[in-house]
Amino acid sequence: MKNAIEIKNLTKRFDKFTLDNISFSLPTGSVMGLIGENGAGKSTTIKLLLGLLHTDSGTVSMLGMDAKTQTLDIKRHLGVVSEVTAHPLNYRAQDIGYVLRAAYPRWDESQFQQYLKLFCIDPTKMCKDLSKGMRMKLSIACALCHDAKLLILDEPTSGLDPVVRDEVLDILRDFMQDEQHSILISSHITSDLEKIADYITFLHDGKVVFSQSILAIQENYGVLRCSHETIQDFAAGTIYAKRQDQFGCEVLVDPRRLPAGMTAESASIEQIMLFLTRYPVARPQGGF
Amino acid sequence: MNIILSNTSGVPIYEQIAEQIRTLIISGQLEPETPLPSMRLLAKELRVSLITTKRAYEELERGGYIRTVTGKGSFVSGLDNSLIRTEQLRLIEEQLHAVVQRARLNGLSCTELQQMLAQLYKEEP
Amino acid sequence: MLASYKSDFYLLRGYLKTYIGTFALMIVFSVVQKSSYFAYFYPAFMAVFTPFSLFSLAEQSGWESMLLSAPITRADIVRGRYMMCLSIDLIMLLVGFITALFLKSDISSNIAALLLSLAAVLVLNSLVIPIVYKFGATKGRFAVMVICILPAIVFPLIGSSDADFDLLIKIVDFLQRIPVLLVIDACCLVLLGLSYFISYLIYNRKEF
Repeated sequence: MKNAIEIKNLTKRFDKFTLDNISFSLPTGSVMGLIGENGAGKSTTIKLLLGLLHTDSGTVSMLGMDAKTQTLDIKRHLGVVSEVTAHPLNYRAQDIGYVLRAAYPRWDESQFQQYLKLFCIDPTKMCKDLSKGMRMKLSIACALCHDAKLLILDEPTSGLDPVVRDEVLDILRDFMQDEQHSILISSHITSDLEKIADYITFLHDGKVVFSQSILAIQENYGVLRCSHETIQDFAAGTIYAKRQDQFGCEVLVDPRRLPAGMTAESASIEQIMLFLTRYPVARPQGGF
Repeated sequence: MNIILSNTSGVPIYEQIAEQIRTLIISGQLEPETPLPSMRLLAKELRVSLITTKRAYEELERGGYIRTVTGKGSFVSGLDNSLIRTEQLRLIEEQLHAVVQRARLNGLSCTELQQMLAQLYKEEP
Repeated sequence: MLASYKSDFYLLRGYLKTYIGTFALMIVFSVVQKSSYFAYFYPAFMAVFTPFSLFSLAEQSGWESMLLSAPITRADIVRGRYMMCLSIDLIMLLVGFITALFLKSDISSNIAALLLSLAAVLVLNSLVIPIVYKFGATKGRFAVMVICILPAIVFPLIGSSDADFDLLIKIVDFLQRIPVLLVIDACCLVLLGLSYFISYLIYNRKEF
């Protein structure tokens, strides 16, 4: 199966926001980061994938199965982590295991206990007494204990300290040792994505700005600091975005189109996101 | 096998990985037929994305330094050392070309350049 | 359905002590008063109260959305909810029935009381659960209060008016005959089925 997730022309209309005809694919065996500012449509997309929202039009297929007709089959192999606090506060850690054991046919109780031990989570402790980081690790443990092939993570590390974030990334890297496994992470913490993502899909205002491999992104985007005069000589279409200040300007450019002899620094995901969102420049062929 | 990456060197990570493995192979520290760590293991240990190590291995395979067998992994290629040598000679010639251009630009004669070369050979181990 | 049922069980588990304690108190009242009223009243009362607790506990912190990403259908979740609400009420009814047997060993009148209370439990669950599905735990409270207040308004009206009480007494007598009660309970089961269907329709269209 080539793609773990295939989204085609997905549309969802709300009163004040529309997720407009988005399409992208997550190749099997890769990690994709979903980025975009608040309200860009990341959570909406994920909710549509999980069936929490009903699509207006478009198709979604996960693990090679159609999301509308084979929901249960997909969900048997799907691990979801969304919102750190998504456990009832008066549940104990082991209660979650008891409930999920009845929900997932391939729930592995011994693996769940191993994870609890590994994360130092006392099974008899109530969720409200666990720290945010521990609740997150508990969520991940739940997602990993039923032979999931696809993980969908919605802001898994927001609000967590760098130590826990590092631990979470290690867990995800372990998950990826199996080449049939794939991950979709929606996150604001682009530095985490730089460490693990193979592909990045950038959503803005309900539309896909780009969906590319990070290698392609490194080749297509660069940051240059220079004077206003210098950029006058740039070929049309070189500049994606420009931030001006009193002492010069900072531009997001296509490094391949720069005049000879000029090199741009590679742009981080955060820079690309900031530039394209706040300081975009209209391009000859439109879009980014 | 040690791989040391730098985030600030400006060289893409995949290129750094490929270059360091290339060096290990050429210097003989990685002998022919030695199995290399899987792309996934390397990605995990180096804390980089899988697509990066994949690209590094693809570059190495293109240069003839390694070969990948589906299901078994990647191995240092033992067969075509001449291919490697040709590639290295090509790179040296490329760099020499740039040096010669710069030398000409600055009015350096061929003899002066040769002297510089001899000096460098004496200095560096 | 089992996962949903278990989920609701663990949600309520913290309240179990209170439930059992209060019910025990009701039993004590009944025994002291030598009337089975309290023993039967409490299950009917819980039929209204439990759904609200369950719904607000489940909605909180996105647990329900988590359940929906597991391989359970929305129908499973609704079924589990109904089963939990009914199990609690039915267990209490049974205990009340046994208590009543101790107080008054006339079996037929006890069975009549049980069947009547069962009808009340079924009807109340059938009414309350779809309302809470539609309006949520907070807004649903108002709707349910109205429904419960209605009898409180209407019955005194009947009582204070010049209505023919003989007729009323004949009706009540009629209703206490077991075959009639069995028919009433069967109708209530049908009502429950309808209620489940409506809840399922509401929940199936719900978006999070």
